[in-house]
Amino acid sequence: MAYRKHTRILTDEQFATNTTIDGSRIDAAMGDVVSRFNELQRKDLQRKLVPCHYVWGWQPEPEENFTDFVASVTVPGTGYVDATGLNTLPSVGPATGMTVDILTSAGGVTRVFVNAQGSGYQVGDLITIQQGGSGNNATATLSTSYTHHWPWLNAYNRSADVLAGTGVPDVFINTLRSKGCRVPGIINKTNPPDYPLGEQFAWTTELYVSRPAVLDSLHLMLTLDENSSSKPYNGASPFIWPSGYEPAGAEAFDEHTDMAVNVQVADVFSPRDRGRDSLEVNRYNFKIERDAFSEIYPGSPPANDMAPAFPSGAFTSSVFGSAVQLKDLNIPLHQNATARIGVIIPRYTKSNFPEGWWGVQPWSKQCYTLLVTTLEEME
Amino acid sequence: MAKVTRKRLARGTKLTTEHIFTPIGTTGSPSIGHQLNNAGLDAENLPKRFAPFRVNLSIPHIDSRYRATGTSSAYARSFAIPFTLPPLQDTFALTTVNGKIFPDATGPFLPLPIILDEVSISMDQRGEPAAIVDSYEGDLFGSGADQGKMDFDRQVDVSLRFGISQKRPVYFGASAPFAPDDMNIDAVFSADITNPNWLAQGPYAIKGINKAIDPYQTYVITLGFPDFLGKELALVNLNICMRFIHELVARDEGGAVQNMPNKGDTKQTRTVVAAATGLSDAAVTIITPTANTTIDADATDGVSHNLGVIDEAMEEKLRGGRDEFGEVGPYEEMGIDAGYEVIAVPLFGNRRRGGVSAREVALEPYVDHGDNDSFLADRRIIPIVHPMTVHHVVLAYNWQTWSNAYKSADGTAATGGATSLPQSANFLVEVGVGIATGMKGDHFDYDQIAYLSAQNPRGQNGTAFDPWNVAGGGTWPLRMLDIIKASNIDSGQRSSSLIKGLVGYTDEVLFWDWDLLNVPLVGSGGAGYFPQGFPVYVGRSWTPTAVDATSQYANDRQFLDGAAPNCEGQEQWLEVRMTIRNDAGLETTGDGGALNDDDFISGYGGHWVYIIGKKHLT
Repeated sequence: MAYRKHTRILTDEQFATNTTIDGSRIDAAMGDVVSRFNELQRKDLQRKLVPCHYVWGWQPEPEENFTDFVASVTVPGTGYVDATGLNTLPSVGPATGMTVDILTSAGGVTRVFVNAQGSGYQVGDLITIQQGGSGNNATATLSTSYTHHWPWLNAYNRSADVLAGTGVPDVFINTLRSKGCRVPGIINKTNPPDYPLGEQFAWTTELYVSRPAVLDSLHLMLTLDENSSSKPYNGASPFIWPSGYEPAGAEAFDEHTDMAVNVQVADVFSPRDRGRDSLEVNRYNFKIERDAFSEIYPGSPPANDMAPAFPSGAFTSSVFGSAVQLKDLNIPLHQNATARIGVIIPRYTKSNFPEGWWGVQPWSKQCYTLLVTTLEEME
Repeated sequence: MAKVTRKRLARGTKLTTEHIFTPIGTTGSPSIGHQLNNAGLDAENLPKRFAPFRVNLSIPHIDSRYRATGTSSAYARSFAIPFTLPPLQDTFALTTVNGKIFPDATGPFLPLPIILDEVSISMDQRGEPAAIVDSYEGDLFGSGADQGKMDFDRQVDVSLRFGISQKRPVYFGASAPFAPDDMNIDAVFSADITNPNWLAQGPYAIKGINKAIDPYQTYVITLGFPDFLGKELALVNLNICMRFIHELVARDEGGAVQNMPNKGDTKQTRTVVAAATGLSDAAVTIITPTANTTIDADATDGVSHNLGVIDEAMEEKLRGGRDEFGEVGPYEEMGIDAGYEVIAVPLFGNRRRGGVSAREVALEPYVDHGDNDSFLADRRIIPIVHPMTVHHVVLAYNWQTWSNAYKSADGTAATGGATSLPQSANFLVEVGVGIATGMKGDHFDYDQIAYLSAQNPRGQNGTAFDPWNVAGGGTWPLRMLDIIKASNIDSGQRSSSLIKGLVGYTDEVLFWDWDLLNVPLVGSGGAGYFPQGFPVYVGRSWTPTAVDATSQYANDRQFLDGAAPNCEGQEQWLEVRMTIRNDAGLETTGDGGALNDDDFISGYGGHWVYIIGKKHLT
């Protein structure tokens, strides 16, 4: 390689023609050079960081388990045999259309599974199962199922969210747990019955780094099934208001802009007070649907699928949904830093208005994978 | 490579070329010029040569029904997650002595040390010094209206007992793999994290642990809940992050590495680049004065000139590793430029009851009541940010129990009897790891990089001579690394009688907490516990590192599983899929399926897939 004169890095000794040198200077210079190569420092390397990966994710119980009715046998009846798609008679009101599958033993119904949900039914309704040759005297009681919302917790801390009968603090340390996530249509006030209006649920994770690091990227994958109402995570018109919602200023077919993704770094001296956090990343007020996994509907299965096949419908294994990708963040995290990663979603509850695409269980609408990468130094 | 040595030059000594030109020359190792030209700088030259990696385990919730009995809350035993950190394929070797398998950790197969440096644990308490009420508060079926509320009175009960223990895998010669008396568990580390540490001030961190990790052992994280007994409380979004360090190693090279970009599949040393490009100044050139000539300063064979050559190479900074697109430096001087990496991927976590039982499996996504062809499925989509080479994939399959309370046919509460693994010889678990392209694009495609199919975990219809019923199609043991029983970590040493006494089971054959199974890489010829392929490169590309036959660059990817990769070097994400099925249905026989009433399918907290390999300096 070519040589050009420049200020020495390896040694301070300089040698030039017609100047006096002695053994000590040369020895010192060679000592500098050799010891430097035997004790290379991080600064001597062009690449001295390595990535570390953190993955979170789960598949929530589908919303349909909450909204659909299930039936429990109340009276087993007589003369029944195993069958599917049996008609039922409602005990009250205009309800109609529910059919059931039954399992029987000695003519009595032992299990009832709702086949078609029908319409107009309410929790607690009694249905009578109709089957030719039976006594038409078996009844079942309707209830809704249950899905939990872990790990989503309300983003707004208020006394109504303290377990009844237990102590309520005079003041909450963090009335609002995340910064920069306010959205129209949800008002966090404590004056019932009008307020709060709507809710926000936050999934927050705290990461700790003892040595300086760099927050490199954050990828939130919200995956859906294809456009099919028969699938648990229906990909039809995702993140689109199906109808207007006046408090949020949304009209039908507007895109939802009400999810926030953020990273807050805790204050060194007051790590509990999130109001003092440094908000380093905040993706908010963005059209979620515009972050679609792909703007182009694939229309056919992948050219080569991987195994095992995924049961997401005709277009097996195709991925739908949104990919919120925050790359090349290059945010330094100081020594002993706590980074709080938050995803905040809305639940709209104004009476006589629909809930928007998020529905009554916004945490159940899609499957989650969250990837965070940090860069850390060799040591 | 060894450290650079030199002959000292005392005042009054005659100056010879050995004093100056031998240490910086290019002709022989370990001279500096030679190391610069041949990527010879390694651990001997790098005092700070450890690269960190993390095993991050996230649990969306642990509620009061974990390992409870009947319908009452219990928190009866420790919650556990096992993992293993096997040697990279370069140093993975086994040997058989007297019919027993042992790690061959001699000579070139000596694994580099892994040190557990730090553990941090966090949970979501709504930013308040409060306990979080679980969904069983006031409702036997877990539909309590108080789920997620704060309980400031019971914050004092939020204490954790954290531990890491190690055990010898049954892979290494356990004569009776089902028997728990072979599971000697040694505590590596434990800590009581009492309630004053959980006042919402952030993660609890334990630093400077400095414990050596044996790559051929199984490690088990355990969480105990000493003050939760009888409390309807939940730990929400629990995150356990372990930081390890591992010595830097040479990045994977050569055509055997699957899907590897041709560019950079060997070190781009100055010597190689000079030969390939004809650029004579690519390599460091040290000109030694010929015999009987005066050693000068500024001449081309002078002291100043040649020290300047070395100096200039240093000024450019020493290069190694790969950037986010798999690109290597124009020259590479670093011989070690890769680190150990683990991506821990959760699957089937956060279920309604914590786990999945045959009684309620029809509530799961993709499982339809009465459709015995329907099956459980979960997947994670993990964008590829930085390249890595995958060396091993390990599945940790969870059998941890929970309160088997359910809504009976008449709508009343009932609890199951003793739980059991699925009592079906056809119970099948499949795990696949793939790479894929198509994100924000119009061409979806996949490549398989690892796949496991394992059937009959219970050994249904097994016999004394064939306990796993391999002859009947049982494949579960064929990839098994370990069986783990992991309750009550504080007991230290384990024995059969102790575990039987603690768990209260009369038949220890049926019950254990976790299985570790190998998910083999596609292809053949690689090193591992079971036959598998060579490591697989996974990384995004730009033109020189992707497939483009028309380009001037020699930039194709190596074959993957014997064929050109479908993704053509444009992989954007890793996908991990898992399915659980039974050919006659996952529901109970009473509901028209094929499993028994008290069978459970997927344990509390779900399963983990560990993707283990090399990452690069970036």
